[in-house]
Amino acid sequence: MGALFSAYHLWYTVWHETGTEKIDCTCHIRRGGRCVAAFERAMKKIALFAFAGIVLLLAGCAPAAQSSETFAMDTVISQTVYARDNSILIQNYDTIRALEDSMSKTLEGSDVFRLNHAGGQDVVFSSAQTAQALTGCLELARQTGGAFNPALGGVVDAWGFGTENASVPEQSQLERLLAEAEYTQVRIDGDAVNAGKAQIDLGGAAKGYALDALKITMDEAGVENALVAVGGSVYARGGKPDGSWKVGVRDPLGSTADFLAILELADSCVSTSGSYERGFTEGGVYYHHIIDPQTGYPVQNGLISVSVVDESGLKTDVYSTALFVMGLEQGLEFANSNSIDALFITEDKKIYMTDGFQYEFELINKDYQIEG
Amino acid sequence: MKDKLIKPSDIVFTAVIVAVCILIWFFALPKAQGGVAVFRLDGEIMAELPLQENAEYEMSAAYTNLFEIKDGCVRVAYTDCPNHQCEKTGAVSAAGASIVCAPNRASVTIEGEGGQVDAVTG
Repeated sequence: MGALFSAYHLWYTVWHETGTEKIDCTCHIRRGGRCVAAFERAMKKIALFAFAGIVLLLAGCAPAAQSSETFAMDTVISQTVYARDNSILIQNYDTIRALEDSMSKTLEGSDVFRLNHAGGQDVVFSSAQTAQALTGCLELARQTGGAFNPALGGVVDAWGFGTENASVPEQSQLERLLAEAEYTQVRIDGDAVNAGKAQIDLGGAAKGYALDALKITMDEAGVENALVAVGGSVYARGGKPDGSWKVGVRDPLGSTADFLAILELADSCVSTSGSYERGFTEGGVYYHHIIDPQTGYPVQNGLISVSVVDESGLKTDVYSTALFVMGLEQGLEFANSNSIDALFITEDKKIYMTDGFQYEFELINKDYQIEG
Repeated sequence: MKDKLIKPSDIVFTAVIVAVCILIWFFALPKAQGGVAVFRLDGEIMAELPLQENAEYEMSAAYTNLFEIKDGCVRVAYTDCPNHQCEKTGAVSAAGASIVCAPNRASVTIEGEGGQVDAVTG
């Protein structure tokens, strides 16, 4: 628009100004029938308007909202990034796809697949990021006393959540798999990893880790404002021109499009673990996908969702699962003593927040009640 | 008059150009009245249908999703995907709401004015 403006003005000024001067010119210097003084004046004017045009042109190049919706990690990736073009959207998506390719449990040849099929032998990871994510997961597993367990892959596979073969496993099979689900026997030495008999599953951490990876790519690209959601894990970077990013907290008892509250976030991630995801019903009983590492069965403790806000996406992903497994009482205590900002929702529609959960929080669904 | 760098005619001319620019910009904006259902398959926009008109739209890739627009809402009327998560979403109508079928990499998002949130965690 600015270019159009300047180009038109250029033509208009030269043509019009020198043209009119030709008729009753009082100046003394003429060249080719046109007044030179008027031409100089016209040039000054052109410079002025060209400057105005450039200012407009630059305004047109200011970062604008670019958005996309794509699929990876078995979920939808929705991005809104304030940038000059959409290259960062593609770059972010490629980053997530690359992480999926190395962290997928089912993709043959991925780091995690090779580790799970190594029969106790060392495996050299091709992706330093996978090694980093696994290292982070093991640290958090230790910190949460195994409430989050990245070595639970065998048990999760036996349940078959989200697949056509989802069913309740045999008790004997569960006991055998639980005995093998020892995260403490996983050894990482540089890029060589040994998991023993454990089956690694980074499903509860990969989405959050991906957000941390995007933070780095967007730092490098100089992006200031963006919102990226990898499924239910959301990274709010900077803000929006009209304020902060608003993230809905899903209503665990409603449909996937319902949210019970609105959370305002800036420069932080949020993840939620809920009992409504990827479950199935067998014999009239609903089995959800959050497994208690003690029993091998879905957690039944009255919680229906836990959301965690943190600068690190990996931590939000891992802690939301761990706190869900711990239950309301122990989870609140653990979160408060470790400065984790969390929101617990119970099946009797009560909302509990940790002391540090000081975010703008607007309750939309008044069936729920904020406690404490 | 002749000595002035900027004449009244320049101001009028500038005003006209600016007005034309604003008009072009205004008409180039997408019509956001009432909401539009944007159908995507693997991230590519396949169709944009107004919510006011009842319609059906099918997307087939790994699986098939049949979407139905009725009375200003979109829902999945039929799917052969393994988890039926898209069907369980029910009918959506609010700006920003979406139905996603991850197995088929298909989605429909309502675009328009007045969305309450930018994303949902859950």
